[in-house]
Amino acid sequence: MRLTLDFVADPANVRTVRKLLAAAARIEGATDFETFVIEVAVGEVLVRERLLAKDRTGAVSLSAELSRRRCVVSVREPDTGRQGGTPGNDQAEERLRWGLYIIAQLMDEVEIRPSAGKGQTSILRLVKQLGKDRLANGER
Amino acid sequence: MDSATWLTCWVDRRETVAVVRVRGEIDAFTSDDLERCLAAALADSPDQVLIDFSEVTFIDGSGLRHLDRFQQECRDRGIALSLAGPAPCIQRLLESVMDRVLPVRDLSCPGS
Repeated sequence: MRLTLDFVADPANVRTVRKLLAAAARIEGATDFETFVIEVAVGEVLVRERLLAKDRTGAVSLSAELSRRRCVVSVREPDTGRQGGTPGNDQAEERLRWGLYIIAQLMDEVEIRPSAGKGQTSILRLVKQLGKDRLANGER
Repeated sequence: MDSATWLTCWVDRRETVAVVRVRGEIDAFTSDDLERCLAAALADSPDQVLIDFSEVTFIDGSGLRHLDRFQQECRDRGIALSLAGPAPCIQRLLESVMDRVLPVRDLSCPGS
């Protein structure tokens, strides 16, 4: 299953999109916990995009590819024009670091592909292998 | 839709025990309500705080961060803190992410 979504990361959209991704993972056979983890990680990513957005509108372009074996989520990040891509506010920077920590704890792969040049977007890519819980429970 | 629609929390006091009831989804847009409620739970310097998570359906990094800080504050003040009734996914998330896992207790006997 492939999804491409362009939206503004306001609270209602953040909730809708994280639940949409969780539902898509469920359709592909993800377990309860895998589904929950994807919802949490996608929510963290979208809050991150909202914090990074210069104009605070938080326009997000998200694509996802889901199969029975894995879930891959990619989000284009705005070029903030600052090294590290943080918004320069202590509280927001702490929130960004904590968000990345949560994502890294929950997903199997987290990659930030830097932008090719000024004005370009970087890409945050997350991968979650699905089915580990099924195998642990003796399911196929 | 305001945050109250997504998250409701309040404090019940039972003698020296403060029971924080939480209902709904804790995310970046509602976690400040949880933070205020947790702060209110400490107002009368209880001996114990029990957070009732039995009706929490989602928690993200914002909520986990508030729980982590609250756990630290309770430890500093010598207040026993425990969590009651978290859904299996939420309990597993807490175990995956938090350095110090909150003890989980039976909701029926918060003062024991």
